[in-house]
Amino acid sequence: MLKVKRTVKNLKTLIAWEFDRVNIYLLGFIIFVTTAYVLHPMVSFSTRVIRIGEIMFQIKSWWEEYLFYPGDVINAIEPLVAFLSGILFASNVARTFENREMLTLLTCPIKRFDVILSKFLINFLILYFTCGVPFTLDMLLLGINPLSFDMYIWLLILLLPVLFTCSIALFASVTFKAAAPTAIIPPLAYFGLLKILWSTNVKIFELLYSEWDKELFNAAKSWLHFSSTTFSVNANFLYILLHRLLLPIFFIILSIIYFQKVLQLD
Amino acid sequence: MRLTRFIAIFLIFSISLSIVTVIRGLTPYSSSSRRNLLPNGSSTTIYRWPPRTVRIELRSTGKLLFEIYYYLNGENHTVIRKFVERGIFTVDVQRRGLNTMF
Repeated sequence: MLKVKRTVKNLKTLIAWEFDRVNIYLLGFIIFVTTAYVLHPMVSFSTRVIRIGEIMFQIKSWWEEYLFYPGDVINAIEPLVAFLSGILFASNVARTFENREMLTLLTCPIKRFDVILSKFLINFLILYFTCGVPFTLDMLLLGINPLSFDMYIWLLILLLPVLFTCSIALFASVTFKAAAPTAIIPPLAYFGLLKILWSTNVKIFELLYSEWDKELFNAAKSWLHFSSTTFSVNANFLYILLHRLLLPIFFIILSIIYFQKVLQLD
Repeated sequence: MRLTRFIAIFLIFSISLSIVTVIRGLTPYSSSSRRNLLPNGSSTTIYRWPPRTVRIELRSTGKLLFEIYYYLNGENHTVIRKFVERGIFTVDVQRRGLNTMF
């Protein structure tokens, strides 16, 4: 128990230290780009008019569609996050290998595991919050009740694309140890995977890049509203889980193992 | 040092929000514009960022009912209402929620 407490304390200190070291200009750029992008009328649905006739005559279908609007915003956020995670990890993780800062850091009495995990967590949290805050504002403007679970389910779903691109960026920064490939690989991996799926299986492509958020939202809602026995796990759900959750976790574990056991710094 | 960073982040976020609010205001709130207007059909564009000048160009093969009105206190107040065939109309919009309909 004491060991866990000490590890958490070390991790907190490292995260705070990492946050202080993040370039303020880069952080400002990311905040500006994500805010302007998420709330821009081309992406955000809260600028669209809510038709009174639809509210009066087709309240059910209108409401269902209305609740799925944040899913489309998440799909629009995903490519932006792929670019930004590359830039952020290149600047905050890969560059520390290039300027030998990592070597200096590892001479201190701290575990390699804590170092890489803190680096991953701070960059992941920066991206998640910079996208999450304007996304929450957009949902509030759209009229989704902040006291209902809907908003929090969408915020949880937003975690997954950010986790996916950050895990690829972490893997690239640890394996290449250079800023340039780290910046390029996450968008390349995202668009490459998109293109491969599009050319091989359109159904799976639509499921993993268009319908996945709605499926997850429905699953989470049915799980929250009814008992867990009514919640059925089908093949589609497993595909989504594999692609959106297990694949990023696999990349993160692989990066940590590589950093701890294989990576040589000299 | 950390407080300065948080203030800087807050300032950048506020500036971004202000810029995006202006962009959202300058974008039509609602638009159902079509390239071809069918008989008895209508096209409406709603803006909510006055004051501004709106330039509307009309071209038709027949007569159109061109109408501009603003919505205030639950009532539609007509600015222009006439049958036209073609023309360029410049309207100064001074009130919130102007609807153009033709």
